[in-house]
Amino acid sequence: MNSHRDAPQTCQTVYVVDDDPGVRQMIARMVRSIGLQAEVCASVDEFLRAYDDERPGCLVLDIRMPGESGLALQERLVAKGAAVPIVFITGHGSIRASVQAMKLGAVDFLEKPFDDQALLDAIHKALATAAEQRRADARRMDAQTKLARLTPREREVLVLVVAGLANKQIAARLGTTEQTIKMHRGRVMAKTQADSLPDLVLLAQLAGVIPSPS
Amino acid sequence: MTSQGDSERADAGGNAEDVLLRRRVAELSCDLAEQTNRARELADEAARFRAVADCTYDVECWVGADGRLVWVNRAVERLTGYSAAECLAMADFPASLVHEEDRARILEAFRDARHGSSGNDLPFRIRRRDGGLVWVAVSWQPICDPSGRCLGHRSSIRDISDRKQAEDRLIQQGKLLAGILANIPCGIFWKGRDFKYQGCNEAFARSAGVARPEDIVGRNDYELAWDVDQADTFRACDRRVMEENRPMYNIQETERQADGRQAILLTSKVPLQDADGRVWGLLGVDTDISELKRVEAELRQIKAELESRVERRTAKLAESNRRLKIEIAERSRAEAALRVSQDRYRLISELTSDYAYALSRTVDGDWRIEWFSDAFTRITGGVTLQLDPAGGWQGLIHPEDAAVMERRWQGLLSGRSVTAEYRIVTTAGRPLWLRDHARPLRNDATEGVRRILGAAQDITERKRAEDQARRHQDALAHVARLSTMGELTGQLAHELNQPLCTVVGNAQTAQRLLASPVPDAAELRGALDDIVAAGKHAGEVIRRLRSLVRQQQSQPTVLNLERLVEEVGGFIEADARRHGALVRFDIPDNLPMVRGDSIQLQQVLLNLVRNGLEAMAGAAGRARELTVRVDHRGREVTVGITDRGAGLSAETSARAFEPFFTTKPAGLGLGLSISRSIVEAHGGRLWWEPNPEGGATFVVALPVLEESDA
Repeated sequence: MNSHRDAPQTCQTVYVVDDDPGVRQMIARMVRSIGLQAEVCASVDEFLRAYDDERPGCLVLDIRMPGESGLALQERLVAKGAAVPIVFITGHGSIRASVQAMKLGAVDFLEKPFDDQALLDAIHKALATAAEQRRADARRMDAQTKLARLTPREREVLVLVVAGLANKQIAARLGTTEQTIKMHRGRVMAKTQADSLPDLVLLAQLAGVIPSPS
Repeated sequence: MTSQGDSERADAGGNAEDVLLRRRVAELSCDLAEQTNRARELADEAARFRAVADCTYDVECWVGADGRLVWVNRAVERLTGYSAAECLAMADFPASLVHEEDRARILEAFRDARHGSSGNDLPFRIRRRDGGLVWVAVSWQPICDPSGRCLGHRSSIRDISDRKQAEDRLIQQGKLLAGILANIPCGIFWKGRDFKYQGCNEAFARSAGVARPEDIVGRNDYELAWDVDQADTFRACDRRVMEENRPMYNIQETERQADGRQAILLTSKVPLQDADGRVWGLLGVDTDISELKRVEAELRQIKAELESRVERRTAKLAESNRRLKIEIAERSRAEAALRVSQDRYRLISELTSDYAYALSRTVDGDWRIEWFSDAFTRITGGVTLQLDPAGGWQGLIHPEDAAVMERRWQGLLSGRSVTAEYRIVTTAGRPLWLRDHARPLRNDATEGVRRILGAAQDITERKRAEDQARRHQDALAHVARLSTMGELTGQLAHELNQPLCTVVGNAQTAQRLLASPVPDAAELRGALDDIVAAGKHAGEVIRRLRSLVRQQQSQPTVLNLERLVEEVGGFIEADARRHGALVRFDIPDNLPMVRGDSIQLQQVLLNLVRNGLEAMAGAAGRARELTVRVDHRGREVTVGITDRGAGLSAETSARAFEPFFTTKPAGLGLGLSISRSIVEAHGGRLWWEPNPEGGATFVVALPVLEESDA
């Protein structure tokens, strides 16, 4: 496959973290040769200082380094919810380390010396993941913004509506009249700009009010 | 003529009257002539008296009742220096000329004189015009007119200087005599023919027991301090002198003194004669010779004492002479013993492998061999000795050790003791190792070295044994190194993997860049540069690896520990990376040099680093940090390897340096034991100590290379 052409966003940054200066310069050069931006860091500390949440990108990370290791950084980023896609590289791969890395959502795990195409493919995949994550993040943010406009009562009505209850049932549940529920429902639809009930359900799922089907 | 004319006229007038008149005139003129004659006589007499008075030798003067000088003769000028006229002009002559001390007395006499007294020979002093003093005596009488009215008084003043001087001399002589009598250390006395004392001096009065010399007058010998029989003796003696009119000199007699002391006296008695030669008494002089006698006795005693001392001293000298003879005999016995002992030492020196020698500097600065022990010839194989200007045994030193000898010689000349090991080649061509200890001697710090004393020992056997031990050690170290290498394999793969990865990646990138229509030249150059650098790095890794693995004899060289640590730094860092640990290097500048085998010391460091890293691998939750610290402490350079592991357990710490003791599943248990023997073979020490913050520090201490061992 040729990922070169369907590179989603050329302004994305590839962070290269390796304590070996020769290796990290080589990767940076390789990244630049396909028109991407590269930023090199000699240690985890250096990366944490250089990393900008607003700049979309991915991480090429050496597993073993003096100081904090690559795996430790991955754990930290996952815990923080900063979902930067990671491509691991290692001088002497151990099965245990690679399993752990993949479990925590690593895009790929390459052993040095690696084929340039393998690395570049992994980087493209990571960037795509990053872009996708960004889009999903944007949709979630949008849904949450819309639901934030609702009053607490309207929110209660919303939860029961998306659960599939009829107006009459909702009125009984909340101890009010069907007429009042109808009015609340109309306001919810208007505030969330939902065209239909399925639309509203999707919105609620995105905002995390109800669990996603997956 | 005129009077003759007048008388003729009277004759013509009346005769009686005239005759009467003429007779009266004649009488008158006769009277007048008589009067005139008498006045002339009076004037002549006055002139005569005045001439006499004026020419009198003494001063003669007349003072009026008013106290003023009326007349004075010319002699006043000789006596006072003032002329008669000047004296007459004085208001109060002669009071103003009287010496101040005498003035009051004289003025009183003058007052009396005005009231009519007379005086004779009153002495006083006159201050002369020239300032000198003159002794004079004045005599005076009042002058009255026939009616008894006082007209003042006359006085004569006589120069009595000569008389006064004679008087003074007499007084002085009297005083001198009295002084002699009072101070002479003899008793002096004089007696009359009646044997009664007429006088004596103070000394005699004291011995006679009278208070004052005058108290003795009129007494005889029986009335004084001495005993009766002593007085008898004196009387008999006195009689002889006076009756025979013959002096007696130096009569020694004993006399009891007033203080009860019996004095020994030496007395001389001389008869005293009057102008007619008749003896009227005698003069005696005694000298107290008691003290003299006592001193004489004392001297006699001292002399006796001295003589006895000389006798004793002589005896002592004889004794020490005897001892000296014994001592000499003993010494010759000791010398004989010494000779035996020297023979024994010579024998010992011949039997041992040591020889001693002494070099000395001649006046013109050359060095010569003063002496050397017999063993030298035996050891060196009987070479002819010749000392070269640098103080070496010329032609004897192994050529490779010439530099060692030169350093040794410079050290000795600078005043230091030097121990050196070097080789000589015997006449038989056999090389021998010598260990030579030499000490320079000098008279004081400012002077150059004057002599050199030394001893040398044949250490060929020891050297051979050492060589063998070193070869064993080397072999063992090599085995250990190989085992370490085995353990390092994985990490070495990584060490090579990094440059390899760089090379491949850069090459592929270069290919990619070249595929583009407008290749980026700068990126291409960068890629190629990095490929070259990584290739070289990989070569370096392999070189170091090979040197570690190569079996070789240890080759001590002069080393800088900073370089040594740098050399293994790559391995250490790679190893640390594999263990996920951070290595810190703390290396000061200006470290002194050490001597050692670079490969073996690298092996020690690698071993200790690996131990430290492995110790931390077991300890979770701690920052894995390893410190390699080089330090200069006194006469040692140390390398400390500090880990943050769990430290050593009691059992481990006790057995850590034992061979085949290990805590690692795959370990041989040789690392620390071989490391220690390597360090000790370098004259150093290897130990460990616990860290206050946990973990252990292993310290390698190597002796600083002294300038003289360089």
